[in-house]
Amino acid sequence: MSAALLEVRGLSRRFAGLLAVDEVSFEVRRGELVGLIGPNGAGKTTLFNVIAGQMPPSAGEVRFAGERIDGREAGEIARRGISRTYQNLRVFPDISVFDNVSAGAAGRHGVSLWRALLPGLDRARSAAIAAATVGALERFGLTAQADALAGNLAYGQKKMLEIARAMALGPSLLLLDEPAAGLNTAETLALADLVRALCREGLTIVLVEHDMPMVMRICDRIVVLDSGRLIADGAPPAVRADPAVRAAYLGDAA
Amino acid sequence: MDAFILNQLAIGASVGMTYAVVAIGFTLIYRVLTAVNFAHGEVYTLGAFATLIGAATFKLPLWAVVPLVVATGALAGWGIERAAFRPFRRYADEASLKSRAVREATLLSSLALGIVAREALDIAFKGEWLAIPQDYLLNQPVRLGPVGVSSGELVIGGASLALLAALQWMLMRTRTGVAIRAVAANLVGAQLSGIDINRVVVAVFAVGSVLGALAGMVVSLAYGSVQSYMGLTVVIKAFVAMVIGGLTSLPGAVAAGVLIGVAESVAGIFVPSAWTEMVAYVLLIFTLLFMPRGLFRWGGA
Amino acid sequence: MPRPAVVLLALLLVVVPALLWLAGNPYAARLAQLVLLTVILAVALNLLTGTAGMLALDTVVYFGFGAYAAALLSLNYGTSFLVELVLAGAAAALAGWCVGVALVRLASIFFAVATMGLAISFHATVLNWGELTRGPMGVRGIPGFRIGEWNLEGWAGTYYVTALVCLACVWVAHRLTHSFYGNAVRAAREDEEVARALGLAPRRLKAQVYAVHAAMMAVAGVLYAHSNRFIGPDNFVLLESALVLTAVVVGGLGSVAGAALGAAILVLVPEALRGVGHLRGLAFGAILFASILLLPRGLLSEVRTLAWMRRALAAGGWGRAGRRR
Repeated sequence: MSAALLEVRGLSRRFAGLLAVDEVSFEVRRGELVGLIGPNGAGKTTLFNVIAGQMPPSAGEVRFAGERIDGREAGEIARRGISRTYQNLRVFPDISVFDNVSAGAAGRHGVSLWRALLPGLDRARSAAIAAATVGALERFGLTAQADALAGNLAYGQKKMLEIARAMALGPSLLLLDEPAAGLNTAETLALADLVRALCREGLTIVLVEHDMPMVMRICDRIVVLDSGRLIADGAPPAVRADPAVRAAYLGDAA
Repeated sequence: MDAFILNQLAIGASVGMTYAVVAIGFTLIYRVLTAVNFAHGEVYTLGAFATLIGAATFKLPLWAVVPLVVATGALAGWGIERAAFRPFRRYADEASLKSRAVREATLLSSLALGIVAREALDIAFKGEWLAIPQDYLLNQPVRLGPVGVSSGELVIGGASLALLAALQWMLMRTRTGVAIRAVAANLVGAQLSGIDINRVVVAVFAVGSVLGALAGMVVSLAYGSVQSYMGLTVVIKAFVAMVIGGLTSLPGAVAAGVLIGVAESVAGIFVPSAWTEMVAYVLLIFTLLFMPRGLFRWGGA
Repeated sequence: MPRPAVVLLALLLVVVPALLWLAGNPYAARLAQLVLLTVILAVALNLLTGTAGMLALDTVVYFGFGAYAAALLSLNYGTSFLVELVLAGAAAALAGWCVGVALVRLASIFFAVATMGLAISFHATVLNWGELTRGPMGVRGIPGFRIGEWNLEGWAGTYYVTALVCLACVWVAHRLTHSFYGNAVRAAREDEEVARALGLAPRRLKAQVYAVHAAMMAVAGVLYAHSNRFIGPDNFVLLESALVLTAVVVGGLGSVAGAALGAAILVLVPEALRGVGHLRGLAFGAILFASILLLPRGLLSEVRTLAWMRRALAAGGWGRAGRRR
């Protein structure tokens, strides 16, 4: 088994003539925190959708822990250990915070009609789901809101809830899609610390983010997409200095 | 082809046209609000009852019954919008206008309003089939070559075509029509360019309901009787027509309406007439299972 | 045993029968039994429409299936109602699973229309398949409840049979709703795609719920046939589906207790209006409309009921989920 947890090889995704992801290849090693950046429309979210199995690739392959996962069903990929958050918040608005998080834990441990019906059969698994839920709620500071309707949370708390839900799945790879978007400075700093801490605990993370200072500060490595193509892959200082990146991205951001 | 089959086809097409006209009302509302107005069948019933009252109670001449029915339809549409839809449109952004919660709340509120209207009519008129006075009826036999139909069936077909043409003209040529199309195409954009959404929605309900009421009128004149539950079967078939037609497509709804009418009528050749009631649902289930987004995906503006 | 369960058992098996016995009024007993039957239907529909979020109007299909199965089996083969409960429940679950697998792919409005089509087709079938169902005449002379020589046809027997089956259905609904299974179903309701990305199987969950709801309704149908002693196509019209839907909406979509409460209200309020003729349909419509407008989350909302259940069950050891503080 290679040291790479996630390998993306020649991956393409086409939408009606538009090549949203164009032969992209990169690796993510275990325990690494990789920033995935690029201008709007560069294909970052599409790449996440393909890796998470929410849309099939047009060409190329994705390997996770050495096994091919491209084209597999999203639920299976999730159970193998890839979990994600969404750029446009997608918490379950009409159920409680506790139930939101427990859905992730339920996905990890599995639920079954028969076990739910027959008392006693479900006890160990229920306890495991409950423990994972309670743990994620505490970890992400949502214990006090557990009974609140998720739709009624403040924006920053909804962002935390999405991460908590994704983490309750117990993933080995976490895909974060713009977790800092819309957060204020203090919240962004707290988020950066949290992401860093998760990574130190052994979680592998791919982070799509527009907040450049944050990405430069916390990521081990940065992969840059532009118009669906990979244009740079390296350590933050090297990426920052890369003329292609400056032209495509930092140039118009600075 | 023998005359009997041609006859059945003609009758089917005529009945199908009424489904189409009623389906248009559904489709218009769905395009603007992505909501379904479950009280639409009662508008059809009200149109028939307005015809009955105009003819039997006030003994109005037929040309004077038409504005009465139009007014009834417009009023009913306005009332349904006010009572069952506007209360749930508290926020004017697209996400909340078309959210699942609003969609389901209005589905239930209009269903409830429809039940209230139907049961109220049922109580008021004791649930009986009431006859339209003889001299108003459109039931003279007409021969078209080998095909014999009644004048009512011809009028249904002709009036439906005229209504659809009028609707098309309204949507393409009038200010209200342009506003309706703008809101249907891009709600937020229409709002930004200064279109009053509430007025457009009311207009859509009024136009759709006038069509429904007129369909009720023509059918009651052709078949001679009126009853409080008469809207239920028609509206469900119109609903099926909307779904088979792809939910938002006006030509799709019309084509599907005629298709259902003809299919029922043709099925009537082979099975007892009571079973033909199920033809629409068989078509529906097949469409949903094999083409979950409807048969007709062409949209038009 | 958690306290709410003790209260419920005492209420249905001791308090209500005692009151009925004191009242000595067969009509009151019949009404109480009708409430319990409607509770089964409402609780079943609530699983589907409340918890799984699938707006359905096909109550009469499975309810009617159970009723006709019971009537025809007992008249033609002399089966016991216990056998019929098992047979009709299993057949409806199987049919429900197949229909469910096909229908859960449909988006909300399509699903509602498809179930409406099923309801109307069922009515047309019952009405027209005269050789089997005796058509518009209906089926008369259905025997009451009996187990071997044990006659349960009196009001008390009928009441207790219904109450026990109702308790069993409520228990099933409770296990499915107030568990992590229920949480998974609610997640599937909220956002299928996200639920799938969390490792759940939303469509399988929805099809399962559909099958369970079908089985419960068929069971209610069996009880209805043997307690009403007569069934006809008019008992299974679309308005009856709308009635059960109204009960669920009034009680609070997603809340088991709410569904039961809504069923009681929807049976008892029109009864109170009996003097004024056939206002029943009008009353349903008005109640549904007022409820949607004034109490959009129903009398007992899902969130509040779930939070309350979690606390109530903490002592009962529901995976210790309640003891998080």
